[in-house]
Amino acid sequence: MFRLSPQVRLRRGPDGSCWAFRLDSGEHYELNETAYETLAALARGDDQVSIAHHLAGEYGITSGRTEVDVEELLTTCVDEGLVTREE
Amino acid sequence: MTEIAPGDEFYFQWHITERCNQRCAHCYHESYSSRGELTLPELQDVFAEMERALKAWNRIGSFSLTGGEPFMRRDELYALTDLLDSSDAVGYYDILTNGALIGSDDVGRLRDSAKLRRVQVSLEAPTPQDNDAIRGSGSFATTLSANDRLKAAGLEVAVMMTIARHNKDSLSAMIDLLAEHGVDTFATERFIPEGAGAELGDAMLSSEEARETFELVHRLGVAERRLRVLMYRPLFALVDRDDPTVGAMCSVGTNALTVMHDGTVYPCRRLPIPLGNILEEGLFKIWYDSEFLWKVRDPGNIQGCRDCVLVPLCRGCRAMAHFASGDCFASDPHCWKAESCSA
Repeated sequence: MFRLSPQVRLRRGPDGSCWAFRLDSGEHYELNETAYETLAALARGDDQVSIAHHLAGEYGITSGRTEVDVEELLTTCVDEGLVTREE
Repeated sequence: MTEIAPGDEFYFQWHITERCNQRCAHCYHESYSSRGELTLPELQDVFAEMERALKAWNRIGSFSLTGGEPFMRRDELYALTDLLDSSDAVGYYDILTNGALIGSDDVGRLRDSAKLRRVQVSLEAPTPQDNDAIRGSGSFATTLSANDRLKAAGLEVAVMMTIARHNKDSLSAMIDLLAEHGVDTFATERFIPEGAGAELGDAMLSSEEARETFELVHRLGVAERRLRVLMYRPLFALVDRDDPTVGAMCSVGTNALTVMHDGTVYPCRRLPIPLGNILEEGLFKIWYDSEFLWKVRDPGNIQGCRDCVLVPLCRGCRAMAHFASGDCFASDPHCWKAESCSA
């Protein structure tokens, strides 16, 4: 189960750019739209399966493909301290 | 001392005390008390937090150490200048002071500071009578005396003049006076009726007076060869948008913060909206999580600026808007371009 770290804030800049900010370290990450929407959904309490299903519908691709992509993105975000993995 | 490219800089205005030996009529302070003043270890913690932020953001810090009167806390001031001198996150710092407490020992101490760019003092008029009416009896003489001693030691000195209705016509004479005294830099700010200065509300320039003043400062500054006239302030871009040394975006929300004597953080000293306390929330939470800062970063939220072609260069002064209208997202009341836009 992935969760957005409580030390992370997501923001859109005035120019539409998407950002994740770590309040504990000051690091900031510019995100693409899909990564931003994925983390925003996580912050709303969605789980990775429902996020993958939503993305599959939005982009017209299989859930199997988006599940792999979401897992990969969230694993990277865990490494960057943006997301925590809870068993 | 390292000059910093604008995009690499983050500026901290750091008020280490509210106490002051003078009571200037136009001052933005409301209280001159030591209540809440941070101890030296707490000030050192504040600097550690600033340094941490500068490194995380890959910015070089520029600082103004001020008060109140910073020499009211001489030991703490020098402890901090030692810290700044030794930090690789710091490009340079200025000390903003009224100069009255600077003795010969101080001049020697300041001369040895590795990253001190300049000492800034203030005058409001080129005559003792007019200056002292605002800054207090004897302040004209003590300020110029401080300047002369600092200059004799080879230090760089800037003079700040707060422009209001009562002194706007003395700009040219002021520059002549400063040039005679070897002052390096002349800076101006508009009077904002806040703090103790709220009592002088009718001293605020009208829009027409502000326009005339900006154009005069620009004319004098461009022609001046004896000292540098700073023009990197909001609204100067209206006078000459093509000169990169003229005009500057309001730094609120972009590359500056003010830290008060008790650790309270403001977006700007002239815009005293508390964003948090640096020792309690830390700078990252304040900078990334403040709804106010996110709102002010979006020019679309600033009336009169959102459709202006100068929005990448200016956006007016949010503090002036705040104290003139009660709404810091309103037009800068001195912006003569906003007037023509709405006509």
